[in-house]
Parts: sequence; C-alpha cells; structure tokens
Amino acid sequence: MINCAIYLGGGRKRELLLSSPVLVAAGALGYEGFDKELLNQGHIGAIVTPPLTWQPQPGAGRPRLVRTTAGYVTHTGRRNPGLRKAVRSHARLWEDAGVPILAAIYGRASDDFAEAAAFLATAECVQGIELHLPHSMEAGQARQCIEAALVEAATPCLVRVPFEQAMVIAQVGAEAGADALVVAAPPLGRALHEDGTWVHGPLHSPALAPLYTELVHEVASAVAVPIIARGGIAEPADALTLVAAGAVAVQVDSILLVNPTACTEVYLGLEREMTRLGLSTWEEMCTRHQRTVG
Amino acid sequence: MRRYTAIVVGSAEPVPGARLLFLNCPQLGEAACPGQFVMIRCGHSADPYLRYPLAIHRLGPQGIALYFRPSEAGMAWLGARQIGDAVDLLGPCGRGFDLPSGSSNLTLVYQGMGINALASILDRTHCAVQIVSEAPTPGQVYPRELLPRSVEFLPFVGHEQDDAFWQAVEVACAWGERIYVAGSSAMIRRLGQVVAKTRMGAREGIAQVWVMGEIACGRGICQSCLTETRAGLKHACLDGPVFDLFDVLLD
Repeated sequence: MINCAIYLGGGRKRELLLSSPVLVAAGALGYEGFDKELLNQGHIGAIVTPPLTWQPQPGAGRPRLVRTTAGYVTHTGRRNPGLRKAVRSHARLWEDAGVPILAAIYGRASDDFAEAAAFLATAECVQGIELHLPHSMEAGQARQCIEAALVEAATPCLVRVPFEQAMVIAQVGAEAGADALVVAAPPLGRALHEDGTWVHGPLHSPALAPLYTELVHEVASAVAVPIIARGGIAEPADALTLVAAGAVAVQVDSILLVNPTACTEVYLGLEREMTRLGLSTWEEMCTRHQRTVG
Repeated sequence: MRRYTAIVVGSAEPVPGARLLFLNCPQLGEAACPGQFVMIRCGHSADPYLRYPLAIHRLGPQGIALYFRPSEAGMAWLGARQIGDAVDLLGPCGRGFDLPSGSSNLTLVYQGMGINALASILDRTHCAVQIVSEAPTPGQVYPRELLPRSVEFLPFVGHEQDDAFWQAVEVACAWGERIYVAGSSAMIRRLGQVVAKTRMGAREGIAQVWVMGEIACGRGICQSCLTETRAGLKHACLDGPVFDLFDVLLD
C-alpha cells in the first residue's frame, strides 16, 4: 500500500482525502464503468465523472470519433442528462463506489458554475468538484466562473485548465482560491472522418506526454496550489515523470479505454518505486522526485 | 467482460483478402454468445492506440474464431499473427442475438463480410438454418465448406443477381421464424420492408440486426457508438450490437 494522504479543501465544509495518488480522469470510466472485475478501488484516489452541465445536453451526431496516429480525436458534444438528473440517477452507485466521486462541471458563464456548485453542496454522494472551462475562455471570465463556484462550494474545488492557455488559467485559478489544479485538459484537434466530415474535439494520445509534462513543470514553477497531472499517462514511468515535474497526484484518462487495469498498474508501479527507494510516504516520494530532477 | 490473453492456434485466408484466425481461449469460448464481440489490442506500442472491435465469428469450448479483412493498420497487425502468438482481448462485449430455445427455422441474411457476425449462431443452435448472402465478386463468397452441411446456403454475386437475391430473401424470410441480419443500412431498410410484407405487418421479436457502429471502448464509456433507436440513443457496444430490426433507426 502507498501511504498517501493528500488533503484538499481545508476550510470547506467537507474536506477531501485522496488515499491514492492515482485518480480516474473525467469521463474515463463513464457514469457506471466501475467494473469490479477490472477496477481495484484500493488503488484509486478518486473518480471524476464525465463533464456535466446544468441543463441536459443531447450530444453530437455522428461521426464522433476518428482514430489518428497513436491517438484519437473525439467529439461527443458533452452528452449528459444534466447535473441534477445525473446525481439523482447515480447517487446510490456513487455512494457505494468505495472511492470519492468528484463531479466534473462544464459551463460557459458564472451562473452555470454557481448553480451547479450550490446544488452539489447538498449532494452527499459527491466529494468534490472539478471545473471544466471552455478552451477559449478569456481570463477575466474564467476568474468569474471559478469564483462563482468557490462561493457556493461545500467541497473541494479543482480547476481543470485548458491545454491551450494552461498557464493563464492556472494563475487565475490559484488567485481565485482553487483547491487544486488539474493540468491539463486535452488539446483540441481536428481529424477527417472517412465519410468526409470533420471531427473536432479533444485529442487523446500518449504521444502528447512531454507536452503535458512541460505544462505541469511551468505551472508548478509559478503557483503554489497542488497540481494533479492529467494527460499522456499510460504507465508508471509517465506518472513518475509528472510527479518529478511538480504534480502531487495524477489522473489516468484514455488509457483506461485500452487497458482497464491501467490505474492498478500505475499504482503498483509507484508502490514498487517507493519500495526501491526506501520511502514510506507519498509526500516523501514527491519531495524526493522533485528534488532529484531539480 | 474480462481481459484475456488468447493464443493463435490457426490462421487461414478462406477468401482472397480476408483472414480467419482461430484463438485458443476456452473461458471466452464458453462465456460468449452469438452476436457478441471482442475488443482487440492490435500491437504492443501506442500506435494504433485504441482497441479494435471485432465480431466473434465462431465460438466453441476451445475458444473463438475471428473473420476480418486486414485493411487498416490494426487489422493488418492482427492478420499477420502466426500460430503461437498472443492476442490481448477484452470480451465478450455487448448483447448478442436472442436464439429460440425450441426448434425453429432460422434465416440469416447478410452482405459482404456480414457472415463474421452471424456464423456464431450456428454454434449455439440445433435449428434448421438457411443463409442468403450477397457478395460483390465470386471470389468473396464465403466458402461453403466452412459451414455445417445441414445449413442451406444461397450465395448471390454482384448487382446482376440483385433481383434474384431479394427474391431468395423474401422466400427465406417467409420460411424463417426468426431472422438475423448483417449488412448495409440500405439493405437493412429494404429487409425491414420484406419482413413486414411476409409477416403481414407483424414486427416485434421476429428479426434482429447486427449494427456495429464506431465502437472505440466497448464498455459504454466513450459515446462514439451511440445508435439511434425508437427508444432514443443506445450504445451499440452495450445495448447492441444486436438490435431489433424495427427498433433501430438507420442513417
């Protein structure tokens, strides 16, 4: 077992304890993909839901996905039943998950985030919020959105920063009082489907790992908020690299579509590394790695 | 669904440009139902990244067989596997065909490679089966010798036999108490008209269609395979790939 105790949201009504540094990224397991055959809850610090909006979203039409070299571009249109219905429908499942559930909230205006955070303040099945901002949102508006959510939030509030302006939004999030930053959302890509139409949306690929590492390194150098790294993580070595760059935890994302036991494999790899180095706590591991790399 | 490492125990090219791969994986062979599929990791590197979905072509106590064209990168990798090679699979995925428990007449209708999803029905039924198929060229007709002798197999080739094909489909649909279909959207739509006509308007529970869509995860996570049905959008990978012929709304 990794002796990990990452506390987020001290000062809020409900604090969050991550007992593993390996999290499941937004949507990487869907709403109900907590397959006990494939998932060892003891190895997972938290599961982030797919992005939820205040109002239901019908989603995008076909095509929704194009396979690319070492990756894929996807566009689902954030299809979801709306935050309230999602929570009502999944409350029992999330309460029984054996892992903290963080609700990913997507919005375009501060009211969207305020309403969502206020609603989630009363939802006992959700232990935290991850704010998803539009990729092109300008800094001033992003600040309003984050502040609106933080005013209402009873649980820790993480801000997932867009890839394209990670540094700007990370600084905004840190100044606004976010409890942690998720660095970063996948970049937007565009790929041509075989039927001749574009698919425009997040690009997922392990080949992007060095770019995410660069973002984590930059953000960690500039802000004093805990960083949870997301992107390009397929193996324990990828997680270690991101820890060296300044992350205190990692979110495993699209590799879960390929390898459903990836969280366990990353966790066990980190545990082996700690044993090899003779370290007893995850905090020591982070300190050691960040110092070693310099 | 579970993750398996299956071993290649046989490989053939029954028709030019198509591969038939036999995989030893007894647990999967026992657990799978006709119409289900597996998600295959094609390679050991990050490219291709996502798994590929493939219908379970045949199934038995020793494992499964897959039938496919090695056209794109992942399938080419799979097609190049040799006896003794390991293949990483997730499965069985999705909802398979509903087969009658008693004796019935079953009609299977497919176009092109559609036999890859239908042939496993033959491994789980003792019913009388008639297969009507349409292939673009004589060289692409599924070999008769790979089907049980008891099966009546009516292959048609090319556009010039289109009328004959549809006449045979109509006769076979009148004969079969259950109908199982795999083919293009246009073919499935027309087959719906044939079934409605031969059953004098009766619809429910008669015919099932195999619709793969663009499955990327196989577990209802990524939403890429959402398929329109009369009951709203459904995941082809979870709620399908088998749907009632009259429930699915095709493009």
